Amino acid sequence: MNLIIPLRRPSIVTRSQITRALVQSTDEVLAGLNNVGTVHFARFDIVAGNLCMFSIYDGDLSSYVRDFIATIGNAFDGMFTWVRDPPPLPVGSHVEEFIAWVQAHDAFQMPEQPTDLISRDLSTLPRDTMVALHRHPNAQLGVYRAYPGFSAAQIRHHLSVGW
Amino acid sequence: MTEVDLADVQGNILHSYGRSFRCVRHLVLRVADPARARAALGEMVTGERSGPEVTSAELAPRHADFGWCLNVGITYRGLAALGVPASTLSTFPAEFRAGMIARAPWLGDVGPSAPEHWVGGLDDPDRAHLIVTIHGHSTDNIEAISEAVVGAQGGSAFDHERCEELDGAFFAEPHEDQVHFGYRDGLSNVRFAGIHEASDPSQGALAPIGTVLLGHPSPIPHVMWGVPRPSALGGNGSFNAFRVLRQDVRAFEAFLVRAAALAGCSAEEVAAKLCGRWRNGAPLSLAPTEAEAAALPDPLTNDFSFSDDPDGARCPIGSHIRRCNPRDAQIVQRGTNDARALVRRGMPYGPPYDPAAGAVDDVPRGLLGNFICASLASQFEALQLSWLNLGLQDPRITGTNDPLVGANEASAASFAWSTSTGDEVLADRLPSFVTTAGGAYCFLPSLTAIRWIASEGWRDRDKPPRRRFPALRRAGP
Repeated sequence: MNLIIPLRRPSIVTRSQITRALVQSTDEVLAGLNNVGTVHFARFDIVAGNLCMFSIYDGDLSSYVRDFIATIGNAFDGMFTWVRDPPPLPVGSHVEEFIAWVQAHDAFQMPEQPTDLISRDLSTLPRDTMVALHRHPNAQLGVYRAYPGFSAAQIRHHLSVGW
Repeated sequence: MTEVDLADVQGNILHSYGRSFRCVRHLVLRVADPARARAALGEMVTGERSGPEVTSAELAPRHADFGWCLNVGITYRGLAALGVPASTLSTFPAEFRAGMIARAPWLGDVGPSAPEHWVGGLDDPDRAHLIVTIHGHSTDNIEAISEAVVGAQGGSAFDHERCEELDGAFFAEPHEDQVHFGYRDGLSNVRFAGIHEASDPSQGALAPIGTVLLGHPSPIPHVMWGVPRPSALGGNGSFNAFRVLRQDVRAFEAFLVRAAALAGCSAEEVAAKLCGRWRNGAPLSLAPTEAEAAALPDPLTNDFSFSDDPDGARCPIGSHIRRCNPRDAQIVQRGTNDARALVRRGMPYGPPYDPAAGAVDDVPRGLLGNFICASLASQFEALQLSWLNLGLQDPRITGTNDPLVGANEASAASFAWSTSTGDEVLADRLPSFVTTAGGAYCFLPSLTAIRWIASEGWRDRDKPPRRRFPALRRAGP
């Protein structure tokens, strides 16, 4: 998931406030991500006036975001108060709207696995790509995985660090 | 406790109609004339049972003189065909709007389960507008009511030519509570706080009613599922993932024999390990051996847990019931053990498999299943997508699919378990025993909502009277 969310006012004050909000809820956020259990990595960045939330997780986006809300609840609501066009809050009472909002802010992802091309006519792919890039200014072009096919919990299990 | 107006809720959501309603027909209907179809729906909620009448939860507790019960599910295209405006339709959740056919790749409905092979008109979303489900004591009850449904409004409401019937029935006694693989079914259904008795621990804990009903708190603290607007339409409604699941009993029995020879145990033990319950219903968690299963006083009990079997020595982690409901076991997505719970109501179709008929018996048979929940994406799809298939809930089964109902490929799938004597077994070439032969996402509207649709409630929106001036207060004496 690559959320790129324009800040309402990308001033130094806003950036400080977001940083403070994240620091204040660090324990809650890290415990929550830990409990979601399917997350490999999650990053929170500010890039060129955007709040960016990038994560690599197992399974599909909808289940991930739903488990995320079930586990972390409304912990991120504070951070969304500084973004332009925030989702309806609290997210727990607007789950479907939040997922639609996430999908709207998620960078377009190029198909990574051949299985993503199920039922697609391969000859139309370049056109699909053009259309997608036209619609989505942000795109994830590719990802490298050192251990493809393993879930976060499998790695934790094999490393005996608890899952 | 949440108060629910039972007279407003369709009766198949909160209760099973029981085994005395031994036959079912799912009528797949296409709206032919929107105005007449709305009128036909209106005639189903008059409060009189002189004709086809929607059975409410208030009437559901099995009046002895009821010969039939009737319920209505409407697909997204069905709501549109009935004239519900786009602005209202847009308030329904995305997966319902997309429909089950569009969600097929996510649900594992590919290859032989792909929608192009579906039966009963379900392969065409413009044909499956309404699914009217009639439960009856006998096929006579069902025939009479289904004729009345299809013939509503002088027979012009629904498309006669393209009306499809999907019929099911419980097996004859003494096997009336079995399904095609020989298991006893319907044992661990969700029961609801404020609806069912809490006193019987063998039936398991009570779930909040928001597990299935829209507009009530969900099982997840601080989470409310969205309710389609207006509330007259969405409130007290529910969603149903209707599934026609074809079962290959011959392949199933053949696998049991092969795996039993491999493991050096009985075929019955393999059947128990695949499911998590013995075919008589006894949970492996309470009865690890066949002898204990036969001796268990209440084999249908629901009062058991997995936390005392963390490695699946008794009940395999990958077994069907443990995937569907991890109960108190540790899972990867902590705190979501109950979040995917849903109501399952099903009835077999097709004759029981006759082993004597052997290779010539290829009659279609399976289960007509209703999977009822408040959020198709959070419950039905999340269960199907990441627990039944893929096995993301436990790293020891991740990458495998459910051994009974999963989208398995014999060339790649296998099933691992510990026998009752403690040996580790890995049975390879696990084929797919269940093929999806049809399905549709339906909205199960409240009775209020059916009246709202019938009377084109979208035409007279509840606009509060606009007040130009503050109300004048009468001066006191």
